[in-house]
Amino acid sequence: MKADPCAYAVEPNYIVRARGVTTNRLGYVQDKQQVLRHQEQRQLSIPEFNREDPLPASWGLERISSRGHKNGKYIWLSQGWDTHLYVFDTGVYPDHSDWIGRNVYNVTDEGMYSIYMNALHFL
Amino acid sequence: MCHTLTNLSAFVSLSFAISKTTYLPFLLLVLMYYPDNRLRGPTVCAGTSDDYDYTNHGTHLASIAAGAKYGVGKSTIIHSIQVLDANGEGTVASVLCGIEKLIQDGLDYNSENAPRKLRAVVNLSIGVNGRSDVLDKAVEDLIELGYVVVIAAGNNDGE
Repeated sequence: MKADPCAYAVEPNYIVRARGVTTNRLGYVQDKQQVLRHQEQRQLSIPEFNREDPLPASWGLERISSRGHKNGKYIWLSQGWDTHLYVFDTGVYPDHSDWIGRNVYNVTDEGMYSIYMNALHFL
Repeated sequence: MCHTLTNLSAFVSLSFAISKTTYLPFLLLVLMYYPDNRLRGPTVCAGTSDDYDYTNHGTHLASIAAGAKYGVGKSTIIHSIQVLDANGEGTVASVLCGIEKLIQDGLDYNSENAPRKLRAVVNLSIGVNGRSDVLDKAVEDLIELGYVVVIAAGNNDGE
């Protein structure tokens, strides 16, 4: 099999496992009251440019917007309108409230994407 | 009939004059009966019978990368390519299958007639129990095609 010039490499079909924790300890426990206060003030409108996340920025996102001393803020300049994110994982829950108004695409058949129109279907 | 219509239009214009909040119940009614055109089916690459995220791992990752509240890109377009099953396990073959689907999808964007090039980030938060040269080559090809590939590292002491 290895002698076949068309074969790039011969190797076992390794098992692949999901990585990363599923509990947000740092961002959840840290300053919970502040987060709740920001939740009350949260607006439903689409955020504008150069906005900040509610404090404290979770999952280490503050490192993206600050190079030196971390101040707990995640300041973003762009919201990524034309950026596509491909998640190779266990799938994505399409009705999540974080992507209401966006389409979530999913591979279900040969070359076919089923489109999740994320309207308010939970009503 | 005409009478009711004029009454309705009068009511509509009147409520327009009063406030916009009058339309909230109508808006909610429209949204409640909005047609649900979602399709559900078996996934190709993971070999699972449906595409539901049973472990919440993929949803978690997508919300960090693209969630409106705590994510990086607030309005990013999310493509879910399910390569892991309900236990969070898959094989190199399933990941390669997913990469094939991804390149097929990107061909439409990267063709000469396309109005703009595809700006895409590929997230592979997975770990392989071994060294896979084939997967390395596939990721290198993705990078050559212009995709930004992000891979998990540092979750285990062996890395």
